[in-house]
Amino acid sequence: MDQTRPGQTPKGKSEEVITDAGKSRLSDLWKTEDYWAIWLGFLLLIAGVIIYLPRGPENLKKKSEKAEAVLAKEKERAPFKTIAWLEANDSIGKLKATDSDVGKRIKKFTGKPHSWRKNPLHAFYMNEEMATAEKKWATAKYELDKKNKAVPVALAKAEAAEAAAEAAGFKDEKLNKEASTAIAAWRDAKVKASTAKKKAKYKPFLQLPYLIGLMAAMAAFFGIGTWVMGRSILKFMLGFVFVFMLAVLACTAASQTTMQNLGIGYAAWAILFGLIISNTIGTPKWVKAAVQTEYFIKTGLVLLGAEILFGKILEIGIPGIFVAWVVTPIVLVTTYIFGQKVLKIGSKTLNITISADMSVCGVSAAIATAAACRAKKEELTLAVGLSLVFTSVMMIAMPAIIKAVGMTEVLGGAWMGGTIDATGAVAAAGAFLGDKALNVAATIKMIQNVLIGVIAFCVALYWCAKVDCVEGQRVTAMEIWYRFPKFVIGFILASIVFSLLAGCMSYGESFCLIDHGVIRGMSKIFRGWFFCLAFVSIGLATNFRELKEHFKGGKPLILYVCGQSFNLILTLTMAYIMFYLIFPHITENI
Amino acid sequence: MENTVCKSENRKKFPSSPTVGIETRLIRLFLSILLVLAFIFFIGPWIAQAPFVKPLTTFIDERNIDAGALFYTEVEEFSDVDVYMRNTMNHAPQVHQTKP
Repeated sequence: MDQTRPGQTPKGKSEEVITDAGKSRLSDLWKTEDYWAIWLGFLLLIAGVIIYLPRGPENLKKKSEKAEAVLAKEKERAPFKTIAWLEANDSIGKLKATDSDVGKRIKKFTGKPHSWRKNPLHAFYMNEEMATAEKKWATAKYELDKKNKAVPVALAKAEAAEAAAEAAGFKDEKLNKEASTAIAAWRDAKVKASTAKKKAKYKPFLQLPYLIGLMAAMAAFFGIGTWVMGRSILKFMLGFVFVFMLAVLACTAASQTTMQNLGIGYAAWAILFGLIISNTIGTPKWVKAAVQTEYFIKTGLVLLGAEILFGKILEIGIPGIFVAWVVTPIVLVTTYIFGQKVLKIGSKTLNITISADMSVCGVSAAIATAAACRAKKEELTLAVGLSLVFTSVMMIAMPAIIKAVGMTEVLGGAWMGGTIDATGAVAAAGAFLGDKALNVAATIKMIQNVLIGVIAFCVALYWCAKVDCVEGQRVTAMEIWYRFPKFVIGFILASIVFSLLAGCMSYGESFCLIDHGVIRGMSKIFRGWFFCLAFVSIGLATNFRELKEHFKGGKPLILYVCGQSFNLILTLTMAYIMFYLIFPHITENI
Repeated sequence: MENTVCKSENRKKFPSSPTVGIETRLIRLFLSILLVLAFIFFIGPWIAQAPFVKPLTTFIDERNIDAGALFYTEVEEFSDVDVYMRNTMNHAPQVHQTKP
């Protein structure tokens, strides 16, 4: 079988000639990884739909409609968000299909190692005595009792202030402002109490049997495709034990509280642990059959597609679309051209992967782009490494700069949301600055997350039509189809299907059944595991020497820094124009 | 043959077998593990306590935010923001009813 990559010259043939030997065969449907990624990904998504769609809370529609009615009434009643408005808002947020019995069981069975402070065993096991000790420690550290007592006091003050404002017919600006301030203080007290409660929540558990069960289930899940594609299922399953164990270790490292607070997630640890093994004792021969980076990544990407709901781009209106969907492609294309024409980076795939990860949303964008353009593992590793380092720096530096220059929360939030790569870091930096900053930063980042699908599709198309061919060669539509990475179709299809499904429901229903049902209760869980397995595989198959080769001259670093600098300037400029010059009324409401 | 992230049916390329002895390789593995543990238990906490970092890491810890999350569906705060912003855009209170 010709092992040539589509568009490349087969061995033994002249380098000047590309043989257009592309052919799609029916057997591709069950013999290629791309299609297996689609079948397996959709199998999980369909299972998610069957499990969660009938399992919304009782009277979901009624509860959702009641909340909408209260919101509509309160918006007419007062010129600020009243207690009733906020409680109706919160009631929608509590509608989650993942809170059903089956949702909790799936979460338990598929759960990653638990958070731990000093003893790594607490990631897998905690008896009654340990749980009580940790609970006692956390209750004292996070002042749970004090925070719990503060909530009813703050609520009483807020109610009194709102009643005073109402007595004046909501026409006294001073009373309205006092009511808004008291309500904000109540919200703050509520958030602090709620998070302290979560931090102090310790129950006895034993994670190990579930992890072993999950390992067996995943081995079988991927094993089916492996077997049908003609590879040895036994060799795969044997090697999978090692790969899965490294993935569990990576998740364990990531769940250590200090590592979580520093933003060092499972992606970094998975690559690192794989690199350590492969570059010290060497990846054992019996493991190699399970080092299936492409297989894990493609399946994970099809699941990621379902998490990309196009309705989200309208969350904050036109300002959000301009900051996230206009600035981002401009930065992406400009950085790529800069890398090609000015820096003259040798590898186009490295260039586009770094450009995407820096301009869009970090690691997830890097994965999708690398897969779409068939980048090398070392190139993805480099892009991910650069992103993670700069994310940590920006997460710390940007809130400090924003506070120092006296920038408003809305502008600062938009700036951070559009420039800090990692989604978790955006949440951290935004929340640190303030609630408004968090709201804007998180919304901008969500809108950027949705862009991944479009970027992956366009990059795949561009690579098939323009890059993977001899200059001047005309590529036919059929040849493009042959070269096109088919799993991207599954990725886009999942996104379209779930966007349409969510669009057919009311907001409350789609939030409960799709977002907090199929997506967070199924797709996100398995996608996280598959990406972790993929990163471990990348590490196990990567050579330090080759990694160093790609970093020669520091060009990837220069590309990232220059691109990110441009991104920072353009995002800030666009955010200011959109939020303060053209749509100030939207900014007022945030 | 290229070692790509996504290719089908291509031969995988692994780092070539180290030419050093097994003892050296085991020592390198052991040292790497020690370094990782040192980072998790000593270097990381030291960085987290640095004056310019501590306010942020303390805040992240108290708010229980997963700062290493890769996608919006992995962060609980994004779910709350999603609901809040959607309701803010669709049910914004009428702001111009007041007198100074």
